[in-house]
Amino acid sequence: MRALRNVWFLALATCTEGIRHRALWAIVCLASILTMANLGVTTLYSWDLGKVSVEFGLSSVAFTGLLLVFFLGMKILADDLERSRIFMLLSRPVSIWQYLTGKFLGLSMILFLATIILGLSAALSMRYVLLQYAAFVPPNFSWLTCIMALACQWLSLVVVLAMSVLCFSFAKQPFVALLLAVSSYLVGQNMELLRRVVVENPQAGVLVGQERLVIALSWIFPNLSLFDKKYAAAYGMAFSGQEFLLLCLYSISYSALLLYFSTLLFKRKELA
Amino acid sequence: MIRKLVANFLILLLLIGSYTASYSALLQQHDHARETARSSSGSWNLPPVMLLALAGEFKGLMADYLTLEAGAQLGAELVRTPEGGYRTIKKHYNWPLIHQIFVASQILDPSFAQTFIVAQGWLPWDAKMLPETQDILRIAANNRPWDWQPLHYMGFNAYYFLNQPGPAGKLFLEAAKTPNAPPFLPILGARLAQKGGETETAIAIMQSMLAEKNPEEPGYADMLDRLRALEGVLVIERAANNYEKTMGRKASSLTELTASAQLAALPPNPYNLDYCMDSAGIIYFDRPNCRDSAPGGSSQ
Repeated sequence: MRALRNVWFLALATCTEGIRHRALWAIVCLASILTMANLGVTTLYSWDLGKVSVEFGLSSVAFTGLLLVFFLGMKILADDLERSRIFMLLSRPVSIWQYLTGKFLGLSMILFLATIILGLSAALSMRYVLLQYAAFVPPNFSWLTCIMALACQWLSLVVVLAMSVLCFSFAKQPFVALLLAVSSYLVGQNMELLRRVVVENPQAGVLVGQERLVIALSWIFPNLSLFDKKYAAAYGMAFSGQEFLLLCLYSISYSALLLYFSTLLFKRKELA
Repeated sequence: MIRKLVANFLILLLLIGSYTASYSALLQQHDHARETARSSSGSWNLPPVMLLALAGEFKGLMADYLTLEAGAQLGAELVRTPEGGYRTIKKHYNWPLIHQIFVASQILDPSFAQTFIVAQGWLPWDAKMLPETQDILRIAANNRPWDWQPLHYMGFNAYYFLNQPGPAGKLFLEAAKTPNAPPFLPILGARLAQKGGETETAIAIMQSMLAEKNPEEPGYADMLDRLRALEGVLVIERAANNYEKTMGRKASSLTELTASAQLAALPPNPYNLDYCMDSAGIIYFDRPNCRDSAPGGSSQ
């Protein structure tokens, strides 16, 4: 019980620290800019305006979320080390796993808040475009699918955040951790594509004969493209609740696994 | 004091001069390089897998951008005249490149309407790239099961550019099966399919469409009339084929056909017109004076 309380306090503290970084204010500004940009960009097209608007709105959430993970998240983690605050925390009855989990949950909460703010602003601009150009609303368009796609976007960001925590737990320099996290994100985005190329294409160049290796890698790296539901939301395509639940499960279990390994690696890290 | 001011002024002049020269040179170089760079590089020249990998989770946005890029390559160009006005000049289009942009955009987002509509607006006309356009439209049709337009354009291309009424009719009928397709599609499709010697196909497709429709729906009666007319044409066509097999030559008219044992009487025509057989042996249900006009001379 004490452990959970520690985790919760750390999460709240991290979230508050994130807000003190004025990150949320920056997000609010970005959200309003992107909302206006959405209205402007959509008018550049003559067909499928609804699709362009939804895709732009959801992509802006994804892009801002990535900026938050890679810059704000990594900075908050690195600040603890650089300003030696971590020693103060670890000298109290707070274990490493509690520290990492608390930080992770706090950053996830910031991402959640950002996703809600950006999602709302995107939804407002989308709503305006869809009302203005009713003829271009996809036939089976559903707000529920849009909300589910937004939730999937957040889950994807949570997985990327867990990867960043893992990289932070063993990299000696924060910059190296950032590079590793960005690389892992890029690999994760293309894991499904690589897997499909190797499995379905017998003439995959240097990858021929490496099917097992690629499949093994696809199990090690996160398959982030599975969370990408912008296309489904933009065209009003079917997106089952079962798939959504599986994605939630995948995200939670994979992130928890990464946190576990992070704890193991962090114990071996030279903090001083 | 004066020497210092002059020195400062000279340094400032030198800096402004070098800045102006370098910047204008850069702008000129950029303008010159833009045309050649566009024809030789760009994300659209990447293989599909690379393109997908590069776009990551922003495939849709990248497809949107590429479609805008294609639009920017098209259209007329305004050039400033020495008098201060503008004149329009015809651009020299790099059609293979523009086609490549459409393909790249469709790889990233195969459902995007802007891609296939702009491609249809340019490629078969100015670029004479009909097979490429049909490929783009087919991909769009496969990925937009709710949209009748890609198949409609394909049918139009088959009829207008290839002069193939049969395949065109089949495509129109295929388009007519999509939800909310306009009621003229099955009628037009059936007519073209029959003209192209695809009467049986036209009948089969219309029957399947009517089976899914509510008799109360607008356009149902028109489709039923067209089906009955096509069935009448099919009866006559079969009789004409049998006549040819038996007699070793084509029947010269419907009167000759009904006089033989192959066809006891002409089937009823729901349009209350006489069926007509032209000199090429094609049967019409809506042109009672078809023999008066030159074969193939008028549009259906």
